[in-house]
Amino acid sequence: MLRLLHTADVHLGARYADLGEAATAQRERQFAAFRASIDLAIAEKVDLFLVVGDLFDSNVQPRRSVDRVAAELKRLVDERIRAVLIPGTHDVYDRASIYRSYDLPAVAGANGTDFVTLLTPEQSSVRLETLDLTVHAHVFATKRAPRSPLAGLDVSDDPSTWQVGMIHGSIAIPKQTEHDEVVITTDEIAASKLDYLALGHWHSSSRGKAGSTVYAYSGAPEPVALDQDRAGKVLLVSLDLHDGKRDVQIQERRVGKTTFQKFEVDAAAIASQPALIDDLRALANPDLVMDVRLIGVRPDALDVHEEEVEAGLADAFLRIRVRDRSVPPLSDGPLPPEDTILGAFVRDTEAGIAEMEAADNVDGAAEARDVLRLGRLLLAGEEVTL
Amino acid sequence: MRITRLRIENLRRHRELDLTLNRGLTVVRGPNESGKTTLQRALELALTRRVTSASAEMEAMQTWGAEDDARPVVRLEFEQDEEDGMHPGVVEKAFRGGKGTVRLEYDGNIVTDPAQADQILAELTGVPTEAFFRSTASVRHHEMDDVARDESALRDRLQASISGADRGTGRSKRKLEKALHDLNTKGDKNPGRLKIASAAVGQAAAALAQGEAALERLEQDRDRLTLARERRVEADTGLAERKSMLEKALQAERLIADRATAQERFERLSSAVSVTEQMSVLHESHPARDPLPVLRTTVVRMRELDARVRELRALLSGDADVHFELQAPEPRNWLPVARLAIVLILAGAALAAVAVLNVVAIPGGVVGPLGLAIAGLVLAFIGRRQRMRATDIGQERQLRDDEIDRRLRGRSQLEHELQVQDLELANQLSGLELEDMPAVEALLTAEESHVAAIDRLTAQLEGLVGREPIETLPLLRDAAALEIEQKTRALEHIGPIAKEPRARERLEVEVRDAERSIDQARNDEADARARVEANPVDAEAVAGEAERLELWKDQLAKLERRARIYSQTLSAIEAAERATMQRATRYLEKHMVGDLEQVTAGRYRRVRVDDTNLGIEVFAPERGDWVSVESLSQGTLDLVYLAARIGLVRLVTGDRRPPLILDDPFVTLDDARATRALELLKRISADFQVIYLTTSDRYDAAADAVQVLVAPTALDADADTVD
Repeated sequence: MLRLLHTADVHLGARYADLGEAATAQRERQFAAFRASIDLAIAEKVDLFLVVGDLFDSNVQPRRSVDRVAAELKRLVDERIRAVLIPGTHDVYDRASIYRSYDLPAVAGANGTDFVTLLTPEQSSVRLETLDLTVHAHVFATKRAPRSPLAGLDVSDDPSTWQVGMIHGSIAIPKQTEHDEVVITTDEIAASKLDYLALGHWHSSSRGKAGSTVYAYSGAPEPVALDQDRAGKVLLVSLDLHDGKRDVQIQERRVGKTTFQKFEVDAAAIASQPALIDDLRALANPDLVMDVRLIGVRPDALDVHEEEVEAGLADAFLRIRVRDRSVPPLSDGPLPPEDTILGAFVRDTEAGIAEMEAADNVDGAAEARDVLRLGRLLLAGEEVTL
Repeated sequence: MRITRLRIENLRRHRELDLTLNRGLTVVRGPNESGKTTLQRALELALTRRVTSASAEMEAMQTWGAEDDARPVVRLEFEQDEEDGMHPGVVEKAFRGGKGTVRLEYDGNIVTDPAQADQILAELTGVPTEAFFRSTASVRHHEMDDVARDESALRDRLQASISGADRGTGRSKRKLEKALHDLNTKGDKNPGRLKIASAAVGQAAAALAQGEAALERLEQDRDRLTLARERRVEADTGLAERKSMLEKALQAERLIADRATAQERFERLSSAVSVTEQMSVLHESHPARDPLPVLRTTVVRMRELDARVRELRALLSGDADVHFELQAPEPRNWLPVARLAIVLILAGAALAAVAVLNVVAIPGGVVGPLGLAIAGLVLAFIGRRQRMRATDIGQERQLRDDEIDRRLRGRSQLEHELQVQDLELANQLSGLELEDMPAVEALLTAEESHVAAIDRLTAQLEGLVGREPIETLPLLRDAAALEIEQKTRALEHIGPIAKEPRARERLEVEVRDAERSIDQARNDEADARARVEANPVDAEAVAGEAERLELWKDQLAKLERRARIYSQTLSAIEAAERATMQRATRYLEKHMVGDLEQVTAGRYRRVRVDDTNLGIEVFAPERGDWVSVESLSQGTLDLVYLAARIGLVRLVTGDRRPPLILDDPFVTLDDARATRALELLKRISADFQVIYLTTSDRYDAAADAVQVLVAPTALDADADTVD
């Protein structure tokens, strides 16, 4: 039985526009997840370690990142675990490719051996005789594939018992993947006759079977964006032969720590800013990126300053982002007479809000509601922090 | 709305109060601390305060000493004058914070929902909020103090009356203007938050742009490096190929040269073999049987014989005459002299010996004997000379004798010799199987020519192969032929380059060109690598810049949004203010004149109001000019304010008629003015119910009803008495 560890989309050096000061920490977490994948591969004594593209977030990552990756791969080499990598769409194998700038197998101390193999347009497969396994990957030198990477793949003449494919791309989904750079179909997967097709590019894990081929996306070992709820994992794949029958089993293993949570709070239910901070603190988690949105209608009396809430909870989360998407209410109850300043103000402002809402000018309407609230409070002599 | 009955429980001073109010002007009179202000507050709360509101103020309004669960309750019975007649109603509000309850009975409906109840009450009174109530229909006595405070106070109060809240817009505008100023301050020393954020965005954007440009350069440089590397590898390959071709060309040249050498050797050896074959033929075909030296010796002998034979035959062909003469003296006889010499020598020696041995005394000693010996020696010499002369003469005689003998032997001897010589010559010719000497000479010539030919071939052979053994020559020739064949095959194996004329020269040029190209390619690669290595950009640092920029942009957007809201709020307030003030101005100018005329006993009959700030001017008859009301006396100013205030109430409440509640605003007026003011209220009470709270009884006469409140009577018995 052979055992593989399948990972992809580590995106070392990725940018996190939403994470602010926590972005640097998250980049470290990405590398920590990659290291955890290596640890898992060693602990599980796998035979083969697959990295299916986008190990680096771009081709301009510093030498430091390459050295760190190579040091981890060398740990596999020391344990005599073979590794096969392919470039992806972020670290595409063009002339500026980081893999051309740095000889990763050589830096990992595997030069001249098959312990670390980078498949490229020049080398589309590697036969690992000791594993009786061949890894196939049609890699292109352009981000957009000129053809399906499964086109022309024929494993029938390959002498290895096990045939494994690696592709960094999307499985075709009507009206969703038309603009993707690399697209394959389940029919092509079925026709490939591969035993296992390791996929990358989708950051959430998923799996399926087409024909006799089992395929799976490992997802990113550490989430790269807020909506990647099925990220943070790698796949342990076992290839077994029972009485001539091939059996492919997949296990998910968590290596990432960071979790993302979107949390909506009805502004009408918030008693005060301190109360909101207390409520959110109850969810404290140093591995959690919390995206809080205040929604609904915000009472005039509620004065919430997003940055103060964020600062008050900075120690409770990996990162907390508070966005006030709530809107102040329109005037409730009897309006002041229109011959009063307040009455004229309210009527004029609410008329403007109505116009903007009718024109779907959501942002303008929200601002006008804030204008309405502020004017109303100021004219009523309420204490308002400006 | 006209309130007919007011009941209060547990509200400050009033644990329980039940007052009947007149539909017109009710004066509620009581001393200080009798609860007049609380009564005014109770009416405000009953008409406008949400019953469920929880505030510190409501907590503080609880009656002292009341039970813990006792909460303020205000109950109003009222009548609403509608077009179809008078409608009674009752509202009771029990203030218990979130548990507060309301019960409104009106038009046969009972409403307990707090919001709905307040909505109905607002519609009935035209007073939507508590603040509005306080700024319009509910007048406190301290307002008059403020009016007299400065020239802007009156305007502010009047503006507050039309603000719809309980204060003017000035404070709001100032607060907004200050906030905007704080946000927008552009000074370097004290920059506003907007400027700070804007500058930070600019800096972060510049840093990011710089980083992105550096990353782009790095990508381009890496692209160029790869391209340069590929070109260098291509140049390496090209050079290696050309060097390989050149090596083949050189190899071909060597093979061609070797083949030519082998060809030359083959031809030479072939010639040598041919020479040896010719030589073999010559060796087998000598004209003479004997080797040339032997033949030559034989021929020389035969030539001597032939010459002797012809000489003898010539001698014998005539007579021989021998004539010989010897002329020599007769030699002396040398023998006696010799003998005598010997005797003398011996005798002299013997005598000398006797003399030396003293055997016999000899006279003269040894001189005598010695003389004898010398004499002997002289004789011996003479004898010797004589003998030699005798010998020479003998020899000459022998010669003479021999000559004579030869001559004497005569012709027969010559004939005999001729026979011998002739015979020998014949034998020689016979040995050569030749007839005569010319044949011999011809044979010799032929043999010499034959041997010379052999010698020439031998020399030619030596010239061709040196001293190489002849028997090896065919083998060597065949080896050369084999070598030629091998070289030819090797040349064919090399390929077309072997057949290309001047391939080496062409390839040497191409190799030099390729070497120059590879130098250029290596330089380009080194330059590209240097550019890549010289670029210090760190993608993660640039990512940090991008993230910082996002933070600052977010911050700036929030601040800009905030500034927009402040600015729009300010603009909207000002716009509302302008529109409202214009209406209010015209309304006041039109409607307060009558009231003003009444309260000033006809002194002021013309009013002018400033559009922008509600500043009021009246036409002063004694000056014949317009004067600001702030320049009038306090009492007059109070009256002007009252008239304007009531005018504004009329304006802002439209067709609604809230009860007017006045907490003794005329306290500073003299009795005459106070009476006129109250008369004004009396007249107003036809439209508005008026509830006038006062400590004075000077209004009793004008009132439709008077209610008297009692001051608290409890004394602090425990305190020390102080004189």
